[in-house]
Amino acid sequence: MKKDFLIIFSIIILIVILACGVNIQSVENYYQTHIDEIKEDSKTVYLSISCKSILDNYDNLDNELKNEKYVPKDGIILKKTQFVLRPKDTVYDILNRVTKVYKIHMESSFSKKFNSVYIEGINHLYEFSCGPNSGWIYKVNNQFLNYGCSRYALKDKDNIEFIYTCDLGRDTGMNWSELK
Amino acid sequence: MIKLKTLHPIITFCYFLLIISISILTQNPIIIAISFLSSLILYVELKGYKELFKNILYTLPFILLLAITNPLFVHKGETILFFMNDNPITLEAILYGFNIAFMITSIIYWFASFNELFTSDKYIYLFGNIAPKFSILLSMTLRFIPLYIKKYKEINKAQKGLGIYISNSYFDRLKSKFRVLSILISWCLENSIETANSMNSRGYKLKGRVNYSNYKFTLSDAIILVAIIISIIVSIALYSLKYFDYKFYPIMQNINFNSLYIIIYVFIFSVFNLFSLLETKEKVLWQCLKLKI
Repeated sequence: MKKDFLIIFSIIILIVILACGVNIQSVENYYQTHIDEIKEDSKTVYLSISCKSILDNYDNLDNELKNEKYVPKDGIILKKTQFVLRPKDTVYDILNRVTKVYKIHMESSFSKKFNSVYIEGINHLYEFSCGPNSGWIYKVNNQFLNYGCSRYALKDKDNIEFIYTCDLGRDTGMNWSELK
Repeated sequence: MIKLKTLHPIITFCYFLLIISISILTQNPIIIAISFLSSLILYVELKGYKELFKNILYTLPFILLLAITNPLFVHKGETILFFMNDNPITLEAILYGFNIAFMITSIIYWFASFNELFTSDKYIYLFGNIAPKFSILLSMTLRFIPLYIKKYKEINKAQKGLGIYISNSYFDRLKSKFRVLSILISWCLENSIETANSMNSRGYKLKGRVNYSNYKFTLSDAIILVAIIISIIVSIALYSLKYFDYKFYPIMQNINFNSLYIIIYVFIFSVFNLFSLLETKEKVLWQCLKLKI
């Protein structure tokens, strides 16, 4: 009987430790993110999210995504807006904060292989939603980078663009051999 | 049970092939619900209510487990319930998990009924000419499950007599059960070698082995085969016209209930319950005849 209690106790402790690692938030709690006010001397960056290339390949798009909600008429999910840059922010941090505030759906996962966050989908547009070569890529200052979006540290007045490509980047002018 | 076991093996085989392919290929929750209910009905017809209630205790946690793993890994849908570790747990993911769980459970029950109907001699009759080694292998593998269950019970009783279940602590008794399991596994390995030796010495390796089986193809078999072939053709047509598809993400598709869809669902229901209907008809007929005596 004593052995029973010991083992049950240790199992309960294990479950409590696991449960502490899980962070459950309700929907309103999650969206209560605060973007800082733009002041005179604060560092700022610009962010825009667009899926214009889908409008050219509308036939390849999955049937359930052919809706104004997911692909806006002009292809712009978020137009170029200015946001405050907090110190040591990466591209992913800005995207995360902005999509929380503007209530845009965003799903990401951490990839150990590249040691960076991979953006799986924005606004319910996932990779391969528009053909087998489709997905999200990003530019900073009109230049494509060879890093994952949580590895590039931003500087003042950087311009971040998230673009949905239907052709592995070729239709947005990305050249794989010229990346920094 | 009597009628279904006297059917020609080709018919049972084709029917279950059709049923299981439809269950795997469809995502439509209504078709999956029909498949699940029909599999339970056939299982009850063949084995009785008691067996079903014994199995339900294990099936329900299994369904829950499968259903819960989906929302933990997939975060795709639109209606968010709450956030866990910065990932949304959505209603669509939970419902998709239940969909998949019911599909897998229904296929398990279909296979259980299939095992009951399709004995080893039927395997050998069907595949003996085309693939003799494969048919022997399959029939031997399927024999193992009831054999090992029986052997486990024997070993359990013997060990109980030797006294491994004395301890008061629940975990010690659990450990003893694992010991019985390890005894079972060593017995199984030895038994398979013994079986191989005995089959070898009885001449299973020699050429010119023939099987005797007396399966006649009767008129009722022909009618059922025609019905199955019609169902196969219609199912292939429905599958290529995408009536079996159903998208869950980002929002759940509307389930149509107009007349065409109702006809399709009634057709699918009759296909899935063909064997149970045959069985019930025989039982009802038998009861009527008994009353006349």
